Amino acid sequence: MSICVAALVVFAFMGVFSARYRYWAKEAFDCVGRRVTLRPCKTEFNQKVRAKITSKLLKKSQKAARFTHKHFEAISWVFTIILFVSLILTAGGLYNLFTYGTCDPAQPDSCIFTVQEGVCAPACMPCNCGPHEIGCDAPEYKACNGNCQCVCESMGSVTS
Amino acid sequence: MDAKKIREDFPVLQREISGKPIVYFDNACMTLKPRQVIQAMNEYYENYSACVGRSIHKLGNEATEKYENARKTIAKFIGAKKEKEVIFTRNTTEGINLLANSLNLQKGDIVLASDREHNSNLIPWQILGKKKGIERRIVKSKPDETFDIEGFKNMMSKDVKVVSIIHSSNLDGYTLPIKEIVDIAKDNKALVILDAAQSVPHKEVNVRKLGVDFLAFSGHKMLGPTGTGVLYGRYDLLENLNPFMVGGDTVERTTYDSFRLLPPPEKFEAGLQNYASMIGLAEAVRYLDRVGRENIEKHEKELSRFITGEMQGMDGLKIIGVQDPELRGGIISFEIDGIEYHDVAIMLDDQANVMVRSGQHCVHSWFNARNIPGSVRASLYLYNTKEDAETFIEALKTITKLR
Ligand SMILES: Cc1ncc(COP(=O)(O)O)c(C=O)c1O
Repeated sequence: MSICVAALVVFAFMGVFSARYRYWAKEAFDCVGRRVTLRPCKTEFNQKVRAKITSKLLKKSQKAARFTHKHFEAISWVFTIILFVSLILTAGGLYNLFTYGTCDPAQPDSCIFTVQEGVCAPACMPCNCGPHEIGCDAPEYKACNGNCQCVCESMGSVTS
Repeated sequence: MDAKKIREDFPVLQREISGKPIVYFDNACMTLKPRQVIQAMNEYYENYSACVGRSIHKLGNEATEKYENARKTIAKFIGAKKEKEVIFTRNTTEGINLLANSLNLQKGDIVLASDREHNSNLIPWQILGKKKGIERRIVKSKPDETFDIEGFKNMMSKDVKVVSIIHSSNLDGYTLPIKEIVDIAKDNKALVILDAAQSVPHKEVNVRKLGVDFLAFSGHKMLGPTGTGVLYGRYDLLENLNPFMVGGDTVERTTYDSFRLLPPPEKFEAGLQNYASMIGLAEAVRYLDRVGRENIEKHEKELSRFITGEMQGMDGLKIIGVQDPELRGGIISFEIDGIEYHDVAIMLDDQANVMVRSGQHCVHSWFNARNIPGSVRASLYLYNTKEDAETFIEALKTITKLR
């Protein structure tokens, strides 16, 4: 069961980028749907994932493959817990970022996304983007077809 | 017979997946199609895709001629007396269902079967038991899983009206002694229906030599298009059967209150049929005839013998059902202690593109009676080679290391 849920989250994300993972996401979704309605997993999704992973490991290390195959349920629970803890922490961080302007209000410096106040345009450092460089209205301001960002100085620290 | 040369006719076998060739060992479920079959079907669609038997224009005539030729080819292939004994169906399942619903069995009539029937030859009779009160009796296999002919003889009586039995089993490839079974059934005036889904594609089957009354098989298990099947029936018996599906093409004339049925096989083929596929199936039959079914049987046995020999040395691997490869043909069903059958199938596919079937193969009753959760089944055909078998064995050896 655990692997269905974890896989659903992971494959749903990866499915955004590749149709191959959309197929797996669909299977995982079907499996989760069946499990929550107390029906057996028709697609034997757990088994497919377990066998695929074991098979890949078998080519590299028999020991690791045997261990994974034997303790797959436990391993998948560990990964599921890790996944959910990370998801919860990420959600909290995002909430803080939008509410307080930093993902860690206790130690704003430790969060790379902390928003720095300051006026960018006049203090822009010149970009060096080669032939694609184009001029902006302000003489010091240069943008490069949107490919590179202006770097601006404010309150003594450099932000982008 | 040159399996390597034969492979060239099969477009699917020219494919590589992840840089490796395909080892297709799921032939008991569905076989691959040669170019000739695909071309024959395309020809229908491209050149004369008209109605058969109704329209009298040129295309209709051409389609009718090809379709009826297909019937002749198939009748000859199974040794039927005339082509009118060949009814086109979608598959074996439909053939058996047609019979269960058309034979006028009454309460108390007995239908006898083996204990290894495919669901297709089990459920129709179970339903008839519920609907009409017919009785069903099952002949249990001997401890070595071969057919118990003495037990069968003892179960026969004048009340046994039908023996509906499998010819070659899809679970382990074992072929039942059908000639003896027919003789005993005939002594008791019982009709014999043969589920030949796994025999007609792999060995010489002649309905008249065997003396069966009815025989059903599927085209897709013998290089033919999907959703094709044949029901053979002795003509005098077919004449007296009522069709279980009726409509267009089954009747000579109708009034608001009455109808007059056409003779067999038309009265059993209701509505427009799968013309292209039946023409394709006849092409598959011609292909098998060119190779020769005795050659196919011999080739499969050779491979099966090799695989069985290699398996015998593998730790934890157990062949299920009948053990002797000489009795088994081209099917090898097995389990590996400590590794689930679906896992084995997925790993074979992942490791080496070896495609097998896993589960209970629609013979749940047999597995459940023995408390076997399922098995891995490798089923061979004419295009499989010794190299395929070696790849399979190598992959299995790797997988058994998981134990
Ligand atoms: C012995 C046997 N009988 C009947 C069937 C049913 O065939 P179909 O699904 O083509 O009707 C099968 C299919 O695997 C079979 O192996």
